Amino acid sequence: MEDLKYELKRQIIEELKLEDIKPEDIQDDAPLIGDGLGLDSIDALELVVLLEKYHGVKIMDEEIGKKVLTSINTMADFIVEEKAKAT
Amino acid sequence: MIITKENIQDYIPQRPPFVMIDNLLEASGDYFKTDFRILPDNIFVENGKLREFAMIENIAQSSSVGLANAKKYSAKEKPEGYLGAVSKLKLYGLPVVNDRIHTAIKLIAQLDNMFLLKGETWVNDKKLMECEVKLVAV
Repeated sequence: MEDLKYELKRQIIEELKLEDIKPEDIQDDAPLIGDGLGLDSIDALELVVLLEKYHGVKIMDEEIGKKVLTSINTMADFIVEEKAKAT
Repeated sequence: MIITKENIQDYIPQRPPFVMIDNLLEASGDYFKTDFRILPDNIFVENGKLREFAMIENIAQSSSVGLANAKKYSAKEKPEGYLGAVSKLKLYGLPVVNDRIHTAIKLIAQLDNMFLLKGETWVNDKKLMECEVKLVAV
């Protein structure tokens, strides 16, 4: 799980071109949108793409999206849950 | 042809002289294709060529029409929204007056009323521009 969280941080930095931020700077439970990492709500779209592109999981509606895109922890939990469903 | 020039303004908030799209030619799932002829009196023509920002506007308006036609969001009587971001833009050339440009749009992701789309604009077999746009329907 820790490897997955680190990968997510690295992918977020790369896809959103967050210069000057390292994976170590992102707290697992810190908000991704707004305070915390400082992403805006439109950036959430990039996170949706990232989840599908790198992890093969889709966010199908807004309510799930709001929960999943809260933090690194919630994104990682979602990936694990969705992959468990698929097996 | 799915939506013609005569009705295209029912699907976008822009009005002349800021309409940068003529027809919705094709729509299949998350793919849309439009065209637009560059007329001499287009306000964004300079030295016989359409300016870059008008081409971005063409991609944004093509996206809006495609999304509205596909009913990807709960449309009001008149569609409204805004262009939230433009990224990964590559410009290869500018169309000249009387060119008819074709724009292909692919919906990449949707989160409620926010959309990430990739657009490519061509004239004949030459690609002129590609970029990604984030649109928000309000």
